[in-house]
Amino acid sequence: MRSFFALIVLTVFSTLAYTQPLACDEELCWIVSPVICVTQQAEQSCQTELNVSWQSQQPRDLCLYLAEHQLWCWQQATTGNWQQQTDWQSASLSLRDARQQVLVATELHILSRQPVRRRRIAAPWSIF
Amino acid sequence: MRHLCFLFILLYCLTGRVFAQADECNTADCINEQQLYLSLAVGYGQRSNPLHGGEKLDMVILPDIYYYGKYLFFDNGRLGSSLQLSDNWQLSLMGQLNQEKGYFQKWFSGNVLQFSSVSYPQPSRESDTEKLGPYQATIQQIRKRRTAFDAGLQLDWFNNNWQFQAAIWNDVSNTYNGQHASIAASRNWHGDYGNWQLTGRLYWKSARLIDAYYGIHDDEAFYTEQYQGQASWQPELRLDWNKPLTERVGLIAFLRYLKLDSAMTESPLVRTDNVTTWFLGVSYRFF
Repeated sequence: MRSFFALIVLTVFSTLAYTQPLACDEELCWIVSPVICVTQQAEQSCQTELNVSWQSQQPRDLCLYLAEHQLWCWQQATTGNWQQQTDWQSASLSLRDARQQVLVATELHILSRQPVRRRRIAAPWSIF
Repeated sequence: MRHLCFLFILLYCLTGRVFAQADECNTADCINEQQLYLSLAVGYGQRSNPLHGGEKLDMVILPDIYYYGKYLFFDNGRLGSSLQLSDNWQLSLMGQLNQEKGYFQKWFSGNVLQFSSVSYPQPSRESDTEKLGPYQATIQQIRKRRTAFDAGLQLDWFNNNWQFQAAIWNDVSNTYNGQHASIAASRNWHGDYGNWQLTGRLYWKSARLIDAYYGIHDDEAFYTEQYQGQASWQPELRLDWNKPLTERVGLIAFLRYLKLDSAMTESPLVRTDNVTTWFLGVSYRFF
């Protein structure tokens, strides 16, 4: 069914282009792309490549989570890159430390080109 | 009633896909979520009143207002929430004013969204010329009937041409402390002569509901016999037609026949064994 979905992925970079090196003054910075996916129909998941890049001023043990699903982990790293074809829905993508504390998080959104269509359950012109 | 509740729960479980994603809906009857739909029809029609002393309802302007959000919906006075159980099944929890009051009071608030009519200089009263027998009473001779609010559960099954529906309602306003339910089947046709829908429906109304509205008790109409309401079965047949003329303007018509059984007709209040409703008009949609 998903093969019929015409996915139009908008690659939205938050502040920096993905191909550019990270440059920020925070202790932990990251870039996620895309963060918005536009699907043909509402309520459909998005199948596209997710790209994550992060850097820290000090070595960290970090894990990448999509909602509550663990995608990848790094140990004592100051930078990390991850990219993979992923099936995702509107959810939170986060980097968590060894104590499961969320250090940075980004919301992934799915927008649809068409509104959800449904059937009316009451009679028209309200005849009773 | 317990059997009906059990049937609902069983169907709910059998469908399996609770909170499943909404199926694509591509027929002409489908609507968009999060869009306000407003239409007005101007024409003429009537709903008969089966009660002694009851006024028939003249219909000149009919509104059609509905909005379905992601979780909540409003549809012509009915407020509720729906779950898409599967591709074809939908379960809804709803609330609305009980419609029985509409026979007793023309400007009943439940009629406002149901039928909006203009007043005529000499509104007709169907019992003006009739003579009451010894076992009859008019609505003017009885105490005022209260307005009830019902909460209900409705299960719908759809495909492109058919719709089956089962609904059960319970008084949550402590007015008649009863229930009513219905099952219905509808068939759609789309052709050169417009869009047609034929619906057959069977209502069941509990003894408490019938008694609260059509019963005669010892504190009213002392000259006639008391009447203790019984559970009532009421079949209904309804035909809807509409034909679009332009993008926004169309013709609409409907005809509805509701048959009242002996549980109703044996009430001293009830004059006829049916309620007929019809309307013919031009509709304009604002969306």
